[in-house]
Amino acid sequence: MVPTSYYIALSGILFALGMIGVLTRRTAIMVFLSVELMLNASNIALVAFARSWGDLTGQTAVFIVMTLAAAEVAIGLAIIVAIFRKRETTNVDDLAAMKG
Amino acid sequence: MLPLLFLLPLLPLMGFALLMLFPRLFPEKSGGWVATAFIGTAFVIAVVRYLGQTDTPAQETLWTWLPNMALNANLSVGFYLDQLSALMALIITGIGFLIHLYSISYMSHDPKFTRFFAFLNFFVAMMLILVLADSYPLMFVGWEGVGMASYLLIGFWFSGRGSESSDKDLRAVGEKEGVNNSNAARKAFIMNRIGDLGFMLGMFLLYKLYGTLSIPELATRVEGVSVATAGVELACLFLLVGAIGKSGQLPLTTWLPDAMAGPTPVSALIHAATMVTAGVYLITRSHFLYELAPNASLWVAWVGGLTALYGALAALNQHDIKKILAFSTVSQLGYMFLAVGVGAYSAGVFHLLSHAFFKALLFLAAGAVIHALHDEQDVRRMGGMRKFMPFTHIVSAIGVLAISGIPIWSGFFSKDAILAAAFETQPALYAIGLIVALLTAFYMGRWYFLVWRGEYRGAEATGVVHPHEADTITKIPLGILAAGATLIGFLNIPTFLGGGHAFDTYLGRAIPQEAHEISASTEWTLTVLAVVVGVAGLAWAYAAHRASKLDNGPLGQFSASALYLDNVYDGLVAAPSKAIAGALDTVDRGTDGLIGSIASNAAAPGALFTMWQSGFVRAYAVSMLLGTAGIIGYWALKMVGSGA
Repeated sequence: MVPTSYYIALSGILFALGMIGVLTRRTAIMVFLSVELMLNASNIALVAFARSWGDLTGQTAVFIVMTLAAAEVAIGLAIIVAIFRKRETTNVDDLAAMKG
Repeated sequence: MLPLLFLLPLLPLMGFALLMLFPRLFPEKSGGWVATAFIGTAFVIAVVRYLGQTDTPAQETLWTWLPNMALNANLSVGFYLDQLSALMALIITGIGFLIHLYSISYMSHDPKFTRFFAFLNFFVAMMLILVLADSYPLMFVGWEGVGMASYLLIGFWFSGRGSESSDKDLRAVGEKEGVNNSNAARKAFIMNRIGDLGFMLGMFLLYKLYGTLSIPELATRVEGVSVATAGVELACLFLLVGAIGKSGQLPLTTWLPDAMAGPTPVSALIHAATMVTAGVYLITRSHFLYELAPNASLWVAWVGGLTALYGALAALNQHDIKKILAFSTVSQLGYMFLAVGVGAYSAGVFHLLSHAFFKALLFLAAGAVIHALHDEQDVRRMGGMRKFMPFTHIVSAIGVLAISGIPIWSGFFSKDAILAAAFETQPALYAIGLIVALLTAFYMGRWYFLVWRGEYRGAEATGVVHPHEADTITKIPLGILAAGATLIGFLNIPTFLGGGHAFDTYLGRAIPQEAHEISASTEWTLTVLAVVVGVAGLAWAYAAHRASKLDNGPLGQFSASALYLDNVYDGLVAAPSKAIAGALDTVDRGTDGLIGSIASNAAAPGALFTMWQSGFVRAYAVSMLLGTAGIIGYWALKMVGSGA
């Protein structure tokens, strides 16, 4: 049986990668993907803890996170599409000002 | 059943409200006709009330105004009609009606036509409240009201007549003129406020002395209560200050000539029928007080006499067709003050009546000339107008004869009555009055010859080669006023001329009559002297006209600058005030700057924080990361530290 710490290490690496992506990527879609990566990293951690404790609470939390991520993507992509129509760019630095 | 008194001021007030609130309901000239109709109806009511009055004055109380002022003295809004106020109401509505009618033609090209008539109606309404009031506070309402109305009307052309023109130069001239007009309006307003302070102080003192401000009540209480003479004297002097302000007497006289900035019908209304007569009316109305105050009366007489002289001297060398008449009004009002000051109340009121006719006539005739010459007001650019405007010429000549005191015209009778009364009590004032009569005849003769006789000199300057005669709407008021100026004197034929003093007898039911003690022969001498002086003045003007020396009248710059009174005020009052205002302004700016800089320094740290709110998503993400790392690091260190 693979020790829990392996899973946690994988989760940490994925989370760090996601965070680097959020901080370095300029395109809104890539920022978005990186956020998904971070969410998945936390999911792995949750599942790993659930297994090590023999408790289903962590598994349940994963479902909540996934639902949340789906909802977030639905709304987020809609916003990105709307902004792209208006500005013809998805560069988050160019979108610093809210004034249309 | 007689119509109620409150209808008199209410009708023009309704006209004012209607024209002011719903100007769009009255396109074109209809607003003028509506306003005129309201005044006309008021005139009809005034006539009905005049004919229906009895020897006992009518008093109508409308509602309680200031309850329980003190000592259970309630003050109500009520109107009071005796012979004096009935006569004043007739003058105001009658002359006011003619001036309204005239204005329909005179103002027809003005873009603010309807508003002008609203203001005129307001003016008449306030003046009627003033004369019909049964208490001093209510009179004060009208008093302030006419002050307000005069401010609105004198400054009616506050942006200048050419300011909306497309021509740039014309617009610049118009704007400059507009500033002058606004200043004239302000001057009238402020000088009147000085007078109003006197009126108010007078009221307070009277209330303190007698415990009432209702005029009929006061008149009866004056006889019963004995108070210190000094108190009454002081109250009368305060009232005199009020009267001086409103009537443009010395030393508050300089606003009156400046009031010429308003449209000509306004000048006629202010100078003939309404506002400036308010001072004379106030003193006549308060005759029962002035009878107890011989010194204050003497002050009234001397203020009047000196103002008459001042106005006449200043009128000698004016070049503005209306300013000559304005200074003439100052002078004639001085006559009226002189009369009421020496106790000849009905002579003063009689002159007020005849003056209302001939001065309105002269102003409206001057307006017709100004109109014909496209807003030219300088008499040096007129002359020979009798050929172009025969009708206006004749009525103007009548006006000049009336004001100069030539027999059969009204001014002869009214001025004579004043001079006779002055001769009886104050010979020095009589002498002044006689000199003023000479000067009056001269400057009015000068006015007449410069405008109507000789050759037309204005073709180049005014650009009007053939001035046109006034139209019919203008002619009707002029004709009626000329007839009045001719005939009104016969109302009061003195005894030695075979008359019965009809006017004096009529007014005698409301105000006391001075006892005539001079013999018929003396009176004949006085009359002949007055006529001789009048004729001499006109002859002097004619001689100067033949010698072409009228352009610059006698006394030169001294007279043209109105005896430098304005300059004196500028030096004594205006310059120090301006200096104080300038200093205060500097202090104010300093304080303002100091507080402003404190405020901006207080805001500066806040500005630093705004730099964080850059809108860069990734910058927010970094700060979140750093913050989270900081908190986690802190916990980690804490755990290590506690050895867990």
